[in-house]
Amino acid sequence: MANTVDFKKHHRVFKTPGVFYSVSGRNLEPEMTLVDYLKIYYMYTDLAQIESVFGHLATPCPLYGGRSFKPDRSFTERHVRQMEGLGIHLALTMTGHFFDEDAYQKSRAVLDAGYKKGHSVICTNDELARRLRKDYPDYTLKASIIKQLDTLEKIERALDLYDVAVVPMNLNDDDAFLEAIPDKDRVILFGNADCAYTCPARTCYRGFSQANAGQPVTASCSKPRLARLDLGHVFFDVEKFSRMGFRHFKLVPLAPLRTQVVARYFSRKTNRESQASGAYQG
Amino acid sequence: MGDFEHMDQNAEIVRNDEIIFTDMDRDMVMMSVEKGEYYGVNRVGRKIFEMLERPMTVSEICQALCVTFNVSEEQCLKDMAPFLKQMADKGIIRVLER
Repeated sequence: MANTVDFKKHHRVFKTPGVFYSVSGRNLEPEMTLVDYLKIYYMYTDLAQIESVFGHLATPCPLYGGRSFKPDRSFTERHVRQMEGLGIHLALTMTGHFFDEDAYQKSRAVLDAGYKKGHSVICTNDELARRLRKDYPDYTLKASIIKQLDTLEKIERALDLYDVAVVPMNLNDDDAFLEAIPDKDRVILFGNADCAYTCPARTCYRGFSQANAGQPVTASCSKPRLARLDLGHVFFDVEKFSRMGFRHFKLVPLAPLRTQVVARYFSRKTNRESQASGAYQG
Repeated sequence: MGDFEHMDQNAEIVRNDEIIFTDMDRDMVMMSVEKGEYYGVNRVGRKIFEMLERPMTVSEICQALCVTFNVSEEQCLKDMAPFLKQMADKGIIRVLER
């Protein structure tokens, strides 16, 4: 556990210059504005350090993964426009385990909607990645945490196919391993984490894939079955990782009970003000 | 904790480093990581919080606000006292020991 930090004392490490974040949009609601969401949920970073927001579009897709698809916790067209207006990229979590031609064709609407240079797709299935490389060459391809890239050989092999590789957060504590990664600019580490950090199985991801693909759900969270030390929401020393040469990090939302209420409040205010100012525009 | 109802104008105040914050247009939202609580302030409160990145006396804060917002020092002190007390009670600012 060497590289976790006491967030209360060290939250400033998340404003380390030259460090950029891909953040989860999992709590973004249709009526919320993206900027209010990002400012409230990722208050400890600078907005300018957020390079992408990952999640689902509000259109069902059998290749979605990471979590169960919820249309009211997915990106609307307005959110995507707001991202583009802020110079922030969309990252689609197409980390479903089950690729076949039918699932791919049913995913084309989502892939078409998000297709723009700079936007990315996070994948678990290499067959999907190869197909995207051919059909959507402008997407940046990211190898998901679910691929469990826990050796240098696996990372190097993944980077032959993908542009970027996400390294599981349990490896954040292995300094020797991190130092040995050759192409650090093409690697994303986790800047913080929840239960996945000490999870011995991460079987929930397979369950989410099954649900999103419309299959019977046989996999689920391993917590009732496998022992682990549950640490809650942990933060890592991104400043130290930055000194090692890493620049890209993933963040999941810090969410005390009232966060959603605060984000909703400011979004309503922003929406009202933009409507009011819109009345004076020709 | 200082008694802001009867303020010692030479008392030095500084903001608590553990508070994280972000601007929301002209306002500001702050969060106590320890308590998991959010606090919102308007542009005057924001100005005070921003100034307290470094220690300042009550008198110095007041002088700066008088210039920015064009109010009398007497009025400023009267208005500021309950706000500083609220911030101190929530641990957002603290009075430095002399």
